[in-house]
Amino acid sequence: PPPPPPYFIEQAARGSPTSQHGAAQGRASRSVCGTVAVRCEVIGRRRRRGAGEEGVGCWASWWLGQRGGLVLIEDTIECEGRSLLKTFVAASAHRGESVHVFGFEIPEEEFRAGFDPDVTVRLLYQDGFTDPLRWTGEAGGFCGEEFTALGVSGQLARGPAGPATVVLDSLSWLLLRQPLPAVCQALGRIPMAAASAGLRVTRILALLHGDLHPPGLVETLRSLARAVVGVGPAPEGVGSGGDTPRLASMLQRKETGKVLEKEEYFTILAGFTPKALGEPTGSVPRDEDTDPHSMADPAANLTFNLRLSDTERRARDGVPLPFHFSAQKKSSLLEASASAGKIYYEPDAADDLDEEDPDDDLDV
Amino acid sequence: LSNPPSSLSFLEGSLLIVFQGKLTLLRDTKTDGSFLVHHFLSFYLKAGCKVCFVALLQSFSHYNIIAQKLGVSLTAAKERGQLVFLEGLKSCFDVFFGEEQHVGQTNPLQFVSKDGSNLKTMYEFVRTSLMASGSDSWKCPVLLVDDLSVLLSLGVRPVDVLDFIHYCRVAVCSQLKGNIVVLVHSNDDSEDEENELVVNSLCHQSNLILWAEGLATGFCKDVHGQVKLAKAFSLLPMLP
Repeated sequence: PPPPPPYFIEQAARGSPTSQHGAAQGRASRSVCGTVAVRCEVIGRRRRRGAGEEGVGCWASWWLGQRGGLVLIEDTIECEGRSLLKTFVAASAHRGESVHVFGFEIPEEEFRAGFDPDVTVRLLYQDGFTDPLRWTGEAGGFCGEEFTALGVSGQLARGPAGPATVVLDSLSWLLLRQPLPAVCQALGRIPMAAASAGLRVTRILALLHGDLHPPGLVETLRSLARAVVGVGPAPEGVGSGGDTPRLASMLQRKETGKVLEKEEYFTILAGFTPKALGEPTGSVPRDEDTDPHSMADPAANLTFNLRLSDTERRARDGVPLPFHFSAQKKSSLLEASASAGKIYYEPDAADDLDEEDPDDDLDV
Repeated sequence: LSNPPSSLSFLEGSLLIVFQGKLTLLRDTKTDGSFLVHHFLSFYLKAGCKVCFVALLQSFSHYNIIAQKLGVSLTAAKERGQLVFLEGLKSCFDVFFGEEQHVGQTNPLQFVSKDGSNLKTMYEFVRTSLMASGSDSWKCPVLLVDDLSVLLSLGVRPVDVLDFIHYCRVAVCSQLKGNIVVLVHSNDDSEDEENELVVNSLCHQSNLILWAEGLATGFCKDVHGQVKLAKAFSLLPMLP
């Protein structure tokens, strides 16, 4: 009989005393309408991508399907990441979520520029740009010190009910002015604080300028995040003339603990929709066992011969292993030997055995 | 006090109308980028803009001599109210050795003697200088700073320098629709982490970066270096 499919094994492992096959048959006896109805759990179901989905847009919707968690967009001086952040904002808004933007780095009109009207309707901007340190005393702004779990959920509560996305532009601004543990705690507690106020925070999108912080801090945030997208410049020749192509390096940490990595070229069209431009060639995901043909032959270019011919290879394979007991060895070991130890020598094809004593011709 | 006629070409004048509310970062590596500061100072004065110049590095006469070679008199500009000149060297001296300040007249460089880091008074000085008063008919206001690395040397923390630039952007770029031009020094393999933090942070915030680099091969008499443009606005014919 064919071996049972893997999920039957899982079913049997849950305590059924009968054999695996028996369990399947036992369940199958309760068939309905002639078909076998079996309850089983499949671990690690892989979602198949639809034929039309592509690239960063598909990834955006894939992540946006995840519950909660921090999504980090990391950029550097060479390539800015705010436009990619805005594509995520547009995607969230198109899904009907309200988007609460805590903006510290650019004025509100600059952030809202370029969005479609149906996106800007769902955008609630907390102005942390105009007076974050209370120097001018302008009312209505969001102060940097207010960035705590309670402060943020208080702002969220003023918005409409329903799923909400929190956007931080940028996290670097906060990290330069507040200690890292406080920021990390606030990020972790925002969903809970919002939930106790009756809101549901689906995800937190944060923009991080990777070159402003020490590497340890960036790594800490990456380990906290559910997904990390690093944005960098793409080499020449990618995409058509009008785009500004960029390279996105995506890392996603799933609930099962599995980590997925992917690299992709993309560009951003009007209305902040991303367009994938294909994957970089030669960027195979890091594999521990590399292709042996790609490694250089270590026995090449030597002054001595390290290679084996076929006869030599066969002779080598025929040599008995040290702890492999042949009849001769066994009998010698079982004998009580009073004399000096015997030497068992098995010459191979290349040996030239000469029984004479080589020191005979010494005139001593 | 009438405005002098703008002595810019039509192209430069139209560039000025389009390029407003922006932060320009002047950056130099292994060379002296102060020629860019002199250029922008004379450019904006000739364009008829109101300029607030925070000059921390050199004295007033130094800038005046060079500006006269470029066709602008700083003394005259100061007299007609077009130029507000904060001479850092003199003000620092006044903070320590000057007479008692009257109430309401805080020295913008007060931070040097007090807690040493809060640049709020300097920001307020900039804001009051560039606020449009009723009789003014200058074009867009401009803040020019030479240079920010000196503030770090004076003991200001990098975050406070960034806060100062942040609030200047709010007041000058966002509210008054003016421009800011700032000079910083940097080095690719610099060990000055505070300076690199300020430089990198400003690179993220600025709309235009002009990077003057010395030649990789070393000093040369005729060619001093190269200037790289990043995030460049489409045309920049105004460089010397």
